[in-house]
Amino acid sequence: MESSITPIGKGEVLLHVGLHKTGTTALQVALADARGVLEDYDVRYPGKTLYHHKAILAGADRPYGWRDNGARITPKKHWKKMLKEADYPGRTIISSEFLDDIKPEIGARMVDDLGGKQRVNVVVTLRAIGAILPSAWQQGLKAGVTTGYNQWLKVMFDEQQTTRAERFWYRHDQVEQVRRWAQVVGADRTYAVVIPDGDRTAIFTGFEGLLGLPGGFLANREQIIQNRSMTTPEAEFVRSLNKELAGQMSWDEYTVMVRRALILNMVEKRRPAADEPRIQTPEWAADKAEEYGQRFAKGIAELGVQVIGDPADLAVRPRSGSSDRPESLSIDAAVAGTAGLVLEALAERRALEEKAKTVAAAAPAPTRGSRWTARGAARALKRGFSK
Amino acid sequence: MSSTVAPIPAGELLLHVGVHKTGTTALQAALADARAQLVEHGVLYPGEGTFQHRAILAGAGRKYGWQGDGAREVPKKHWEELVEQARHNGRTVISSEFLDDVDPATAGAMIGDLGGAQRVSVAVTLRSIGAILPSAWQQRLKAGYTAPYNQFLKMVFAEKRTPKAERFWYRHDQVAQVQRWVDLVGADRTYVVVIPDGDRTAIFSAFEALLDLPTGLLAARQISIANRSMTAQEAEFVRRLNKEVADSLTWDEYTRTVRRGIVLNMVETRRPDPDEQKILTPDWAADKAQQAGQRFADGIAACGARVIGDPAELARRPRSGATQKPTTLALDAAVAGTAALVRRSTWSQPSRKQALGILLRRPQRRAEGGSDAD
Repeated sequence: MESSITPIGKGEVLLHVGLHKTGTTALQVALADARGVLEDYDVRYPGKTLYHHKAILAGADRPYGWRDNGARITPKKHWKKMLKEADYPGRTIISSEFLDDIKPEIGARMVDDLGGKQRVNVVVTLRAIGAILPSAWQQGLKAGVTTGYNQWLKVMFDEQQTTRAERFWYRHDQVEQVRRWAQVVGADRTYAVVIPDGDRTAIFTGFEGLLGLPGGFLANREQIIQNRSMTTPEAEFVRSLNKELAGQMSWDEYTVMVRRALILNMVEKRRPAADEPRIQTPEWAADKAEEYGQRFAKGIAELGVQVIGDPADLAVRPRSGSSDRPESLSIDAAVAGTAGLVLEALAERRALEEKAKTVAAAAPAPTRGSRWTARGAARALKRGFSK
Repeated sequence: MSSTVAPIPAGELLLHVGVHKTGTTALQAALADARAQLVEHGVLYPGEGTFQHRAILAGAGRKYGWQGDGAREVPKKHWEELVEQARHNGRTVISSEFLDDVDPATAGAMIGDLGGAQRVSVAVTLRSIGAILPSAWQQRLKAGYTAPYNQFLKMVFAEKRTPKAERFWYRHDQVAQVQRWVDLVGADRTYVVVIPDGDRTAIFSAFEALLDLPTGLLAARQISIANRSMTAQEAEFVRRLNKEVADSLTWDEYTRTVRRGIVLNMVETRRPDPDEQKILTPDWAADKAQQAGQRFADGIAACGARVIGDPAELARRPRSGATQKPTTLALDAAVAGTAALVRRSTWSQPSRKQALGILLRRPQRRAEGGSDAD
């Protein structure tokens, strides 16, 4: 598939705005991995980290975290630094799916900061809404959501949209999303990359084309990021745990303990058996998803933006069927998650232990024989800990 | 049943030596809870806490924890305090199953400290060995053990005994256990309390009688200590978790996170479905257990000690059958364990005071497997 895609102009910026759950992480990881050699091809992926989320959150003044507990504003300097780096004579690629729910005026302001619509192109990656639904629900679970999948779907498809549903559709009404960007930078500078379900290379190919990179340049750098979907029992485990812990912890605590230590370990350290139930969308919701998907496919084709891939893929019906709520979890999964949790629970304590030892080694002789005296240790620590 | 047992004389001391896994915790919790009321009946349960393990470990010079890592010697003063308090002119009861594996010389010295064979009577509580086996295995799991039940049983019943098997049978060869105490205080001062499987009151009735307490005083205090058995899947979860983490943890870390954080909460906060698979002893081992049980029943009846209950109960065959290793865990079990650990970890921000504790304790890594708790 050597590219039929015309690259963006030299000196221009490609702003990848997501959407969430379209394989953005895989792309970002590949870009970060290629960072050193990208400039040989006159392409820049600014910054030093995997993602540009921090800079984007700062540029959009968008808080991150639970709204009522622990949400934070990112300091503006992160955005300013990004702007400086993006001032580059080759092609610059900026990628963050946190751009997918900002208001148009903020989007416009950020585009202006980057040199305006004569310099910025926007690329939106899209997957069938039917594939987005279970992913989005799972993503919610990883942020503390306690609603079951069916209930969540009802909320999303309800005639009367709740705030949560509105937020979801602001992001995932694909026609509206793409239209918003087309209004900011113009249809000819807006790209919609359609990613067929299960296709792991389409996103790479799309970006290789847009950035004028050799075919396979990014795809070959695909890292094994085990950002796999949770199985039904895993998801139900997380949901139940969220319920059990609801309201008892801060966003930071939740992120460290549940999201990173438990869920990430469970998902990464384990390969579920082939027959472990996968999340299925109930028929009624699959019908809706298909209907919406058709509308999106048609709408995208009609917007006049540059489409890479086949919009018909957006109308694919999700894996559907009825599923019972699981009551048990594979012991593998419980062990992987719990083990991660145990080690995290000890991390702070161990760090403290290390510190105590360092302090102990640095302090002169408050010991008796080879053992610390209580007073000696207390004194050494007081010194060590006030530094 | 209690009416047929004569109490120990006033001024004397009843030393309850276990054995492990015979309902000792329930008894100790009831004694501690009834402490004030006991005094009214002239009975002293020394100390202020639920258990007297610390004093007993101190008296026996025994360490507690993983051997080679984090095992700690208990200061002698705890024993000296207990001895001091036990100089009581009513009846005194001391209870710790950590006495069930001390060597006779040490036990003799401890009895000497408590007033010698003219003052001390010993009570040994026994359950059928078939009931002990799954309990003992589970108890090991709670201390980091990683061998599956079948392997544990093979270790226990192997012709050639490993040191671990020796330790197990030192404690659980019921005839030898009782004989050791008979040799120290005499058969007429040695009581064997046989606890029928599933009988939650037998241990209370026996101690009420031996201490001349009104019937029901202890049984009524039975605290619902949810020290229930793990189900097969819970046990398998803990075993697999041990395999995954135990090697990288110190004893303290293990206790804090896995034992107290996860296992205890899973067992206490969850009530498994009645049809959830219990731990079954495979038939070959059930046969062995029954054989051993028969030998114990006969030996206990013949050893001359005072037997409370029916020795025939000791020959019971355990619940047996073929089992498959469970592969799934009930969600509520997984949630109960992990939620508790998450909560624990979020409230324990380490402080300078904790750092001090760490410095003074000088933790070491775990050297090799094996625990002495069972």
